[in-house]
Amino acid sequence: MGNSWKTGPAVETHRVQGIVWGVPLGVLGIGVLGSLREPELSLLSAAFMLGWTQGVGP
Amino acid sequence: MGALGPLGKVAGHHGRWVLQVGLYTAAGSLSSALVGFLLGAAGQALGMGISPLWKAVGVVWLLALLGRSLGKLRFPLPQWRRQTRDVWAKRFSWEAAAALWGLDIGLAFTTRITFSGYWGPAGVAILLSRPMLGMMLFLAYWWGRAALVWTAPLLFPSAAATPWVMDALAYQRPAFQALHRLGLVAMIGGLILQIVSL
Repeated sequence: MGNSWKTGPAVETHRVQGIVWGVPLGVLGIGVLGSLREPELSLLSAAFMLGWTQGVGP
Repeated sequence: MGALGPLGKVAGHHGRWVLQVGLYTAAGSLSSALVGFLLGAAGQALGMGISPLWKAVGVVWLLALLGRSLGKLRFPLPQWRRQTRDVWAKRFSWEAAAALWGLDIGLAFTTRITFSGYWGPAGVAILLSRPMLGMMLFLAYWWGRAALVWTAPLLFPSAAATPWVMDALAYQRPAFQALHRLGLVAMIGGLILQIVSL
């Protein structure tokens, strides 16, 4: 068993960080690229990002 | 949403979880779309959006929100300090409760706001004065909010991991704050792109 009680939380922290940053930045990247053809997409992807951060709750 | 039903990874309950979060997302989409449409229509009725000047006003508004978020500016923003009603989960079926929560939270103005960036899409929807764009802005905002719920099966790999993940999420608040500021910067960039592409 060793120190598995320590490695568990560390793994979860990395997983959580990857999702917390990866999802909104991915959508923003798509929006920025898409805005080359449709300028409103950058606004919409930014709105998605703001909504994502609101989802964490008070 | 976790209070209403088991997470997607819990054996035997995947279908119920998907239906519950689907109802929540769909109901919130309805109320968000309505709010965004009405804000755009209100701007239109007030005669905003005709001149590109209003987009510049939008940039100033977003910069003010960013300054407030960074602690450089201080000004009050109205918000209703309430959370959605837990009692709905006891009074109604879980399908109805999920839909009611979505409708309520999708309205956005009726529940407590975590970060002031919410007022970014609200201000831009009024200033650009295009009801359909206002609707799309609020739908994008809501889908971002609901997306965090949809990622729960990824965030919570098993029931046993829940305490660790909850701790990890609590430590992510600075990350959410940073992403919120980045969202405001991205929205400023989007408006500037609209101004220069006229």
